[in-house]
Amino acid sequence: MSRVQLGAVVMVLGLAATAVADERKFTYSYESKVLPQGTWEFEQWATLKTRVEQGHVQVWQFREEIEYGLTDRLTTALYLNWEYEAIRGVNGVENEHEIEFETVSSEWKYKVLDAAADPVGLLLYAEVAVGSEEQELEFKLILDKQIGPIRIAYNYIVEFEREEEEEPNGEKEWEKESAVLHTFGVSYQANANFAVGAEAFFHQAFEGTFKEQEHLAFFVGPNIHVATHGWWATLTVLRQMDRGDDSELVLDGLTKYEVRLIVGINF
Amino acid sequence: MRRVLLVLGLAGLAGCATIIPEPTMEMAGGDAGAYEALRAGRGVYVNKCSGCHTLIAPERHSDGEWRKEVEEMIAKKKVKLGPEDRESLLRYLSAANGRD
Repeated sequence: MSRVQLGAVVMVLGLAATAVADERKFTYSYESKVLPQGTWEFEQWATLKTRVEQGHVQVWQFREEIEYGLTDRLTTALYLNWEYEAIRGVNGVENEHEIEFETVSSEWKYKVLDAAADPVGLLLYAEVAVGSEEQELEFKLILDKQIGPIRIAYNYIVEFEREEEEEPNGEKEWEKESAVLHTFGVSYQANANFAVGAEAFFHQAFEGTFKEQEHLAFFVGPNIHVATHGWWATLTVLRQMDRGDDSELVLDGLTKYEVRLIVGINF
Repeated sequence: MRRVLLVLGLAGLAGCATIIPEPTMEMAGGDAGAYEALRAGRGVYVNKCSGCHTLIAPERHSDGEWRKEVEEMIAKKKVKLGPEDRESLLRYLSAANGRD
């Protein structure tokens, strides 16, 4: 285990030991939840992406997020995104490992309808991320429903990205990409402190602004959620699946497995 | 296939009734002022409580249990509820649970 991996585990365990409470049942799908006015929350994210066709690729993405309830319906957040990447034995790519600060993001969530009080929960989400080599704009339409102990969520996500790439002649150019994602989640609340469920998402990536489809990938897998007084944590393990139409797994830019842990603390 | 699943899912969700009942004049004993107060209490329950946990049906607890729950939330989780909101919330939960 590298120092970065060890550091991440220690940081997450440390947070878990000292935390306070809130809950999020999924790590890839948002729910129609915002913070009550005047309250703060801290979230630590850690995402591992690993396994490609040949060679060894491991990407750790980390996010430190601080959220604040501006009103009972409007929540804003600021977060830092950074990444550790290790590549070994991949054809045509130099072996390397590096840690890099990526972007600062500003997130805005507006709750229109509640998942338990209204026929369906509805949340509108917008996010802008800015970094020295990357800029991103993201919009989400979030629908969910609480039916007894079962929570169901669906997110429709549109992303626009601009990334600085180095051309073979050494010059740098901004390249545009876009994507549409559909995420799904279902979670069963077994008791007050524990829920178990499953998550899935389709990822459709395009060159430019929806010009030409680069790939369409599908991930699915289980998740667990724990919450006690003061803190909560949710873990999802996803595997990329063959979509069953003679398509192959997308392993250029994506990986076979994605594992995400989010720990939340209210204060 | 995905579109069919999506449409079915949305139809299923939209067909689900709320578990947090809207106040009625009957619940308020026919008093217009009490009816408005119950509506305000439901608003507190939906807007303040759902940020930190899933809302549960009022009928799940008796009046005494709800009072204890709300006091605990205020004491342990530091929910910011003024005395007016607190009373309005308890009045709604007590009227909506159909229990003593």
